[in-house]
Amino acid sequence: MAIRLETSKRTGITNHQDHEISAFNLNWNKSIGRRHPNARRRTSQSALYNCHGFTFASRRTRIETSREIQTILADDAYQEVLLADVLPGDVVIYYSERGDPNHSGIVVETGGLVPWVCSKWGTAGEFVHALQDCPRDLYGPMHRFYRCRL
Amino acid sequence: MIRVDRYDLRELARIALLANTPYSLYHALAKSPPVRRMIDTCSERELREYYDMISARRGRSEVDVGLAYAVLVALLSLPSRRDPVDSSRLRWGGAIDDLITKSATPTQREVITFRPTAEIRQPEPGRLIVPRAE
Repeated sequence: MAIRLETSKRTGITNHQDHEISAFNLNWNKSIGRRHPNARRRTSQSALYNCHGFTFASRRTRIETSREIQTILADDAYQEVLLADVLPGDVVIYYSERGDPNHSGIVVETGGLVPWVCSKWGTAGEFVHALQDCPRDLYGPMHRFYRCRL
Repeated sequence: MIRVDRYDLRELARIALLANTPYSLYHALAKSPPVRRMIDTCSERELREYYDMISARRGRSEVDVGLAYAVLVALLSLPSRRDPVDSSRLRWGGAIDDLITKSATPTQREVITFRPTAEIRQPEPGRLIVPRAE
């Protein structure tokens, strides 16, 4: 199922809502903490939205293709920000080697060695974590920061 | 024969659960040891039969889903694959199929060599050609 979702320029964004959370997922979700002991779990798991839905659609749905992310970045006037200039509220996107936006989150804390980010990990919950302290094997080795200039 | 142990199954399920997009799922699976092993050791027929069996299963758990995507990625990545695969049985199957098709690496290379040719005109014998003065 999809909801009506548009950019500021009224371009439609393809999206998808899921609802199923299995017993396996419920049990497995508890073990994530062991791999990322410094990441703080913020919410329990939800299939309704993914990381991009969290970052760009207020947790209402899943956005799953690179093209949609590119459209949002362009239409909503996101501009890249250097690490030294990052502030809470900026967006971070993690890219694969090929440049696919595999993961995104919102910067919640700066001032330390690295920014802290709040992001949603697949169907697992939201986590507050250091920039690198997430499943980078899935999300990719590169990241860029963006700020909305609307 | 497809050989995956419990650790592999858990790892495939972890990938399926944490993936946010078809692209992240594909990239993680393509690099994972179980999928590399499937590509190296399994025939197209074995993978196809296993994919048919696991993708037809009802009430799939994350372990089943992770394994089904792993077999699909291995099957689509086989360099010697002949027949098309019904990737639409899995929700992100079509997107993964597109991604693999677009990023397919060539299996044959033909080097086109460029041989420059020059036409040399010889003056007719017995005639003297004197360059014109400018």
